[in-house]
Amino acid sequence: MPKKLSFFIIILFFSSLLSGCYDRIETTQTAICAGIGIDSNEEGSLDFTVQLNKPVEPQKPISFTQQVENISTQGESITEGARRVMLMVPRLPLWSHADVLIIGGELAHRGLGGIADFFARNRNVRHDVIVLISPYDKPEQIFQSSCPLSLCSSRGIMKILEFQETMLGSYTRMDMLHFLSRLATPGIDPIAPQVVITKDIKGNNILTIEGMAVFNGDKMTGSLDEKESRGYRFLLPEKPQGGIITLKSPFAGCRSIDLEITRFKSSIKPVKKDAQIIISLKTEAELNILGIQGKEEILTPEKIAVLEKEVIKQITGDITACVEKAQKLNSDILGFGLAVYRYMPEEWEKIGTNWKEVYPEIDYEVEVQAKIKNTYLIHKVYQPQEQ
Amino acid sequence: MAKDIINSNQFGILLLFLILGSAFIFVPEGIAGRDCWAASLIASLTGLYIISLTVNLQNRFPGLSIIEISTQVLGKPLGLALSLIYSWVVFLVGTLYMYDMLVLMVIIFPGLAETLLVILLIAASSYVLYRGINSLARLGEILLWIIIPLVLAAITVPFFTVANLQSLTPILASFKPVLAGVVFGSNWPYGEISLMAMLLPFVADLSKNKKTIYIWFFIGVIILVIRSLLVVAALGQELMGIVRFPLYEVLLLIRFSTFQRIELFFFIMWSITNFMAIILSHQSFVLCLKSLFSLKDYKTVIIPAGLCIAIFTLVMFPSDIEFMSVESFAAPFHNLPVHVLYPTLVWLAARFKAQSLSPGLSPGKQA
Repeated sequence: MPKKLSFFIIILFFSSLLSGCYDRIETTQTAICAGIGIDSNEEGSLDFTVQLNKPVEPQKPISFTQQVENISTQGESITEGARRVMLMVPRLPLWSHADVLIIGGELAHRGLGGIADFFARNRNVRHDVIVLISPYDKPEQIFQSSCPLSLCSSRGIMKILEFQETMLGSYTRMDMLHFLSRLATPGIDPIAPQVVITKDIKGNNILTIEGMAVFNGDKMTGSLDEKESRGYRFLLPEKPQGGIITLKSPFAGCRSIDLEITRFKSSIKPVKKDAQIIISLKTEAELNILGIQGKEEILTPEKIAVLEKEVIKQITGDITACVEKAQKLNSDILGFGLAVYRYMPEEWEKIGTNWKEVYPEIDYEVEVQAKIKNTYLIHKVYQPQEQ
Repeated sequence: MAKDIINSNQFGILLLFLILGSAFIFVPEGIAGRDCWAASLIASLTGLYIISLTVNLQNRFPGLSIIEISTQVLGKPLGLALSLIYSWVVFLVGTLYMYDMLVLMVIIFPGLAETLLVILLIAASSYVLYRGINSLARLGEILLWIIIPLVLAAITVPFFTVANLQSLTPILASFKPVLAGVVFGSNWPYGEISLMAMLLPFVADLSKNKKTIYIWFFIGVIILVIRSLLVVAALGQELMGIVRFPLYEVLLLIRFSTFQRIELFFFIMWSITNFMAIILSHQSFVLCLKSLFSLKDYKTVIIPAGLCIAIFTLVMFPSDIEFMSVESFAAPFHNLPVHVLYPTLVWLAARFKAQSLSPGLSPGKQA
């Protein structure tokens, strides 16, 4: 018994020294970090901006104005910039709550190699944080602009990105892990959506997503517009899926047709034809009719087949526009090189080292299949009575 | 039930804890890149070889530890010399497990007092050892119910949420990295199974139910192979090559709707399996000392052995970088030959000796 007791006392003693709450910080002494912004400046150092949520008084009525504080510092590195925030904020920022990382255009053009190590190594920044590029404005200005109906522009822009994926289907999210993975993997280049400032009808600065920044290695080389971004999304389908296609109608009695994309899948595979590597791009999409502007009855098997051909033409156009732009910018955002490496490793041995010279000239073929499956609540075109 | 008797099923469970505790969170054969799963599968043959060899040896010499068998079949000078090297490797593996636990804890809780944590772990491990091997085995049986659901969740949920199986292609395009991965995987965790040889004399039904041990071993192998597949599929080979705790990194990515920080649920899994691996290495080292110094009871050396592991861990690895160079690059070439050759030599010597003896007298009876 004394032996047991002595063991118990020893373990109890050491447990007290290793209390799980040894480094606890009261919530009243912390600040929730909503977003992080980084850009380079003229002196060659880094501008670091953090958006912190304002503490809310429990008794105060809910406000619909932005409840954030934006703090900017400078440093030779991100770490220095982030630690310098402590000179201005009497609370400990909780970096792991950050939802977005906004990288300024200047830094993106200069190269991200220097900052990638920080984000890969740092345990305080989660790797599912969304990466955005601000090509025209400083991240500080982005954080200062508002996001309608959002208390915090960082979370607002993240939500815009999230909801447009299922509703509109133009741009694809990029999280930190996949961004870092693309930076480190041969045969594929990073890409990230762009956040820009625009004006609302009252002339206020509001945030929106416009285009996607493409990189050659760690340097930004250009942007995809909305059509090209759609093409990118069709080729690399990520969940959640969704989005719409608005077709100009091929029928005289009908102006346009809105189709909702319910599901799509794709593949990027290299094939060899006449000793040449050709990248085969295949996409299959399923769509539902969301709206028809016109009176002509088009919901017949024959006319639906015509519509499906139009859908195929539109998706093919989006994909082609994306590939052409990516090749023009010499940015392998679709991972053609990685596909060659995966499916033809012996060919990659030969061309991998000078892939950047091969890539802009590589041939590709696009094959799209589309199926219109559902017409929702009515199965004929709505016919209002003639006046 | 007697304090120092366990059955094959309990031994198998402890074996599973050793395999998971040492390597589940890492990918030791990560040098093989995207084919690390294949390297893990091939490397498991080393573990299978060590288990079959030591089980066979134990059935020939029931009740004797591998060190006692070696002095009997190889002669005292050579047997003792080889056993000393084996004991050193067992000790070294114990320090590696201890530092593995330490480094993860310190990364997550940077202000943690390392010395206190090491001493606490050794104190807790010593307590388990004082309770006897049977208590350790029963502890394993109880903890298994906590571990199995968490392990299953850890290797299945990411497959449906964050894995991209295309990252696994091209499969086996080059054999050189796979071979390198096999070397590393053969040492850690499969070679380290040789530690368990010291516990085999306590298995009462070894000759009857040895199949159970193999079943638990194969469960461990399957889990580690799926772990390797998952890590490559989720992170890609480039990121896997640089991250310290690949599986932890994968679990960091899981989120259900807005519910994040799922990885914290798995923390209990790592803590338990790693702690069990520490206890098992401590137990093996203590049993080595008992056999080397012909002690009547191993309990007298539990605390000194534990303190040696604790102090050596703190002094030998002053930094993470030094530890990595030992664990990842030096250990396979230093430890693997001992893990494989020591049981092989003892087994060969035992066979030669058995052949030279009269047919009616088995080594077991002689012992």
